[in-house]
Amino acid sequence: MFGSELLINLDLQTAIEIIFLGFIGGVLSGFIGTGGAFIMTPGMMNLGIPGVIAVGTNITHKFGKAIMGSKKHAEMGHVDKKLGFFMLITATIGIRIAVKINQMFAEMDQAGDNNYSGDLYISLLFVIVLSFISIPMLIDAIRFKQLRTKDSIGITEKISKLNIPPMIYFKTADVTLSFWLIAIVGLMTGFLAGSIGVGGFLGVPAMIYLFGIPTAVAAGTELFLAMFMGAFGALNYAWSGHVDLRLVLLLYVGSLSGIYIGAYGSKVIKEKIIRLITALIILLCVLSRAMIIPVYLHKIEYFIITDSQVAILTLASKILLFASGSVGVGIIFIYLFRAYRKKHNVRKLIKNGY
Amino acid sequence: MSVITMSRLSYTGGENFGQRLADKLGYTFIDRKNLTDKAERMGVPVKLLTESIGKPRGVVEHLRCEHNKYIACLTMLLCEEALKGKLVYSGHAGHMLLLGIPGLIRLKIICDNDSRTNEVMKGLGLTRSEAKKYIVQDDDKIDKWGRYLYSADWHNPHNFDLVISLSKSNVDKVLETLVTRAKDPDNQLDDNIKQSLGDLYLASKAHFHLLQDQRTSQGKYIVTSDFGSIQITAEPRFSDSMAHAPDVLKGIEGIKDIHLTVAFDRILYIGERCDPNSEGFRNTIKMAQNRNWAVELVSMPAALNERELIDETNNHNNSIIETELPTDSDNKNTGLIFCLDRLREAECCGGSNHIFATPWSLVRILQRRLDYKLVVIGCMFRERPEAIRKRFIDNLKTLLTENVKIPIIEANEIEEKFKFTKKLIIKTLSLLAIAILIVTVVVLFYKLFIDTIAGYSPLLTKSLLVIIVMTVTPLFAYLYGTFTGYILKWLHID
Repeated sequence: MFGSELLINLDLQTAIEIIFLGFIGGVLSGFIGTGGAFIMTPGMMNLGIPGVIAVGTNITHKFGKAIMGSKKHAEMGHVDKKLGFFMLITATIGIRIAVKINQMFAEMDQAGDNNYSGDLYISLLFVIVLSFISIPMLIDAIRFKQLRTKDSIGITEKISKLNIPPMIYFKTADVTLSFWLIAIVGLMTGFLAGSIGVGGFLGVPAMIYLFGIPTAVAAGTELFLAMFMGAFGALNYAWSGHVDLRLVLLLYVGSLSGIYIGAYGSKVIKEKIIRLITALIILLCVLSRAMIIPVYLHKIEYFIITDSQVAILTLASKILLFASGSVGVGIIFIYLFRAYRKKHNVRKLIKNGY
Repeated sequence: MSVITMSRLSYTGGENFGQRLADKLGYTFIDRKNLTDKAERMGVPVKLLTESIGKPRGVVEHLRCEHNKYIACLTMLLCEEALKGKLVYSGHAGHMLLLGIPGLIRLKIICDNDSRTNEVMKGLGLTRSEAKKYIVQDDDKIDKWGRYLYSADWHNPHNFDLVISLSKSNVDKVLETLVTRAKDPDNQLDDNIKQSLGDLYLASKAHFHLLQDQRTSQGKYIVTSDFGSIQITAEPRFSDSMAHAPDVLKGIEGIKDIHLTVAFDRILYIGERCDPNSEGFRNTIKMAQNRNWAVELVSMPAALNERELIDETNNHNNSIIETELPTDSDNKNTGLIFCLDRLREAECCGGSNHIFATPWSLVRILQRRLDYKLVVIGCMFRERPEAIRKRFIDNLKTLLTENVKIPIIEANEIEEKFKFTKKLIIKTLSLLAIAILIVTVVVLFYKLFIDTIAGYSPLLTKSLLVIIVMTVTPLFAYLYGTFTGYILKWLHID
């Protein structure tokens, strides 16, 4: 069961594609403020990397990236370590469950000499989870301020007021929370991080809306948590041989430079546009993954489609994912360029005495 | 003629005490409700904001603009009253509204819980346990209000000049003491204090108008006033809205001119007497220009800050520094105006928040506005011998570092920390070489390594793989991350 059979042959073109994928993931991750797994994991799968390896590689990549990011957040006082550790208790359980399920599929696939049921499971989970996240996000972006109806506020408020003892006070976050609420959020964050690498998509909003933590502290604490979740996940996946270290390093080459550009992008683009771009890119990633599902179903002989249909769907899924990422990054670059021009216009305004 | 602000919890008897104090001094007494009623008439949704306190921050995030409008409006109204002089104001966080204005008397009124419980029982007709519960809930709400709106801890005594316990003091004697204090020359509204109040009034009025007007209400601005010159700073994403600011503010009485700055980030420059020709200041401008940052100035008169720093040293070291305090008779700080002009020429002006600040008031300002990228300590304690100067600067740095999580550097360190030196070029190239080496080795030999160790016992194979992954990953992230950081530094986008 252990060997290099699961690792892809890495030629120059694939290496460049991985670096480019890392760059897109890095820019979008700096722009949105969460990890770039939502594009990197499916992107790697589109390049022919088995799902379990893509997830293991991505979580390992996140481990190193979170070390760098959380250090910076900690210096700014944006990390509630106590909350991070409490969440970690159940997050590790969530990761362990996720790794076990992924490994189970990997073993099933190895017995059948393919990797499609594992890929199908990861893709389905990806489509379901990210649809739940991106569709409300898109509605929120279109309606912007009007979305927060009394009902949606009421639900989060009710959950946040679950005062089941023991209640714990967190100084940096300045909130008192029920241990059980933290435990549930930690477990789900860990499960999503371990399954498809998108723990932050649940962890950060939960900390902001359910725990009532300031956005900066939520992002810092999530990175702190991601550092340990990443380490634990990397350890688990490496132990079963599902980490491709080559891909981890190539992803870093692109992502660590892209992340700063994305962070700058968030300063020049209006919040409404940020939400719109984010939601659209995630939705397109979901669509790309959804398109490939019939191919996996065909491979496990659940139903039959023609070879040409397989080829078309595979290519379309790959193009859609890379195009959505590239267009997103392109838009950020255009806005960055326009920001400098706008600054120049404001200067002209000043010089002309209004 | 002075201004007294009182911060109190409910049912402490603070209102009554404030009224008596005002009567004794012959001053005007106003409370929070006077201001909030006016604010409501001006379109600030006070009720909605009050209800939002205590809810998860994410849920009320969309009210951020209304919160800013509330603060701007209340500050404007309070300044308007304070400028008339002879004022006693009673509110929950009144001390935070006039932050940074010297010469005011900031009181905190407390009272033991038994007396408060009795007052609540009488006032609201509740049982003892209900009254106790009411007090806990109300205190919690006020506490959250202060922390959410002003990032201020109501319980921190450093935020006040005097803390008065009404249940433990002879109220008449306290009133006598406060009357004497109000007549103290240090607490009179002199021209400098009036100037500071006037500037704060204009800045908050301009800010309020910007947030009220549809053309500019979507932006997030920092608005300051320096002798009637309004400075508006915003991130590039709000530059479209900000461009309408001159039209929106046209016709507001007291505004001499309007300056706009678009900046990615803001830094704070602290100087004793800002000297536009000092090397530190020139380096600060250069650094800000290169990175598209705005520089906000704070001037700290020597007499004020040295006194507090000596107090700080005594508190920390339990020792007394015998030193004569210089008197600062000329507070007019013309250097500040020259520095602002220089910053405007360089198109990186972030205005000056106020004219005078002491180290503790600076801490309070920084705690309220945590969005500064950097704090630069400029020319300070220049008339002191080198050893004392160094010690005072160290004390100031320690005070700021302990209380505020913002990077702090001295102006003379800028060159060393921000310049891309030859040493740094060598370091960058070395890091790149190591990173390339690691990537090459891993890309070429990883598969071979896996196949080789696959022949060992499963435990050894797995252990070896885990060791390699868990060491190479953080090592490469650190090396390559540092390399990227240096490159960004070279490109001035660090």
